[in-house]
Amino acid sequence: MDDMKAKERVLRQTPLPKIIEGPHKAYLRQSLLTQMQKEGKVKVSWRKNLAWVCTVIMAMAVSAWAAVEIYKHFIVEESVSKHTMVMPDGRKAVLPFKQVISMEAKNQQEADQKHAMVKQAIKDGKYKLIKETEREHGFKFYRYEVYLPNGKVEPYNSSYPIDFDPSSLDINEVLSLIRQGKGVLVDTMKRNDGRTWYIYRVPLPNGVMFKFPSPRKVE
Amino acid sequence: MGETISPEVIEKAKSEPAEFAKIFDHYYGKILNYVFRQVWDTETAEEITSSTFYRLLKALPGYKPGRNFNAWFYKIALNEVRLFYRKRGRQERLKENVLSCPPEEIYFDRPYPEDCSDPALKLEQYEQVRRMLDQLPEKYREVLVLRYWEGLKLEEIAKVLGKSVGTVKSMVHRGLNKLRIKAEKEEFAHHTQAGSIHG
Repeated sequence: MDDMKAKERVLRQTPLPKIIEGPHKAYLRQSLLTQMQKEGKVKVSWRKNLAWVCTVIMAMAVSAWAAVEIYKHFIVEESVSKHTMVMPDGRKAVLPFKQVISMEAKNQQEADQKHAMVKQAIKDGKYKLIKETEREHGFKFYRYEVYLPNGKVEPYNSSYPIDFDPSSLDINEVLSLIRQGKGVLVDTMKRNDGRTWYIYRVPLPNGVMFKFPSPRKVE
Repeated sequence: MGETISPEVIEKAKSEPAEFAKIFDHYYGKILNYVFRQVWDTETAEEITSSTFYRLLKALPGYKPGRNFNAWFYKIALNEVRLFYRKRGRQERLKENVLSCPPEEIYFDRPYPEDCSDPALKLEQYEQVRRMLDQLPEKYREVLVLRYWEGLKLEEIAKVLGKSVGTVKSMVHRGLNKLRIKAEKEEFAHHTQAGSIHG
């Protein structure tokens, strides 16, 4: 045991040679730090690039989402219900009643089914006014949500209140209102056939601002 | 091996060159001399030290806080030394076993037991011990060098070698025992030789 301790002591006390540090230290130090800075720069630029790519992807995603939302809310398929009115001169006039249906419907059959469901839900009073927007010439635009029986919520945009049915209007009553000076000529519109149509804003007794296009001036 | 680098410095050194420089300044001499005493050649020691630090630079981001950095770094250095010998062959080294640098490039920091100031005598004593160590199986030599020359704790050596503390303790004990036997044999041979000369 004493021998072991002696060996331990010898090892502990052995004079250990050391090298006098030469220029290698400064050279290695400098080259390590340079490499580190280079790697740091590479990492930073790599991170910057990644951040840039992420930003672009996010911007694209947000744009796509916004486009879809805009498409859903504003660019809608117009299913024009051709509500015809017989004019005093015997000709038929088509009222600009636009029934809007979301483009989610993939085909006509689906669209028809949805249309029927929307109509029924409106009839049942299952809808909610989301927003009422002022349009030019004193007209208004209404955004509704219609709650379908299948649980889905269908956006419904219209130039008139949802419970207003233009086909129930009496054309003579409208003309009379214009002649009384209540209806105002607000715009003219050149049609494809070259004829000019006159757009009247007629405040109906129920408060609705009715847009009445006429092929001739109402005198 | 008393003073150590703080965990904060190590953590910052992963990304900040100034903090990495602190580690470099703290360890350069230790690693260079540890390697030098293994390879006994200044240029080779510098080469291995360089590759050890480059290895550290690469591995540092993966260093987990809480680990013993000293042991972790010595492990890198030891692996570099092992890699050098694997390429070159240990027997080759034993054959050479000659200091390849000018004696004036080295110095000694431990007091000689007899307080000798003669570097030549110090070198002779060192070489005598080193020669005996070189004859030991590598695993014992490594343990004894790390323990008594590099001043690592048993726990640190265990981490460097990837063994349990108990195993390291036992290896130290066996290494010392083997060293004692070698020394006795050498002493016996020396006496026999001297006897035959004088007789």
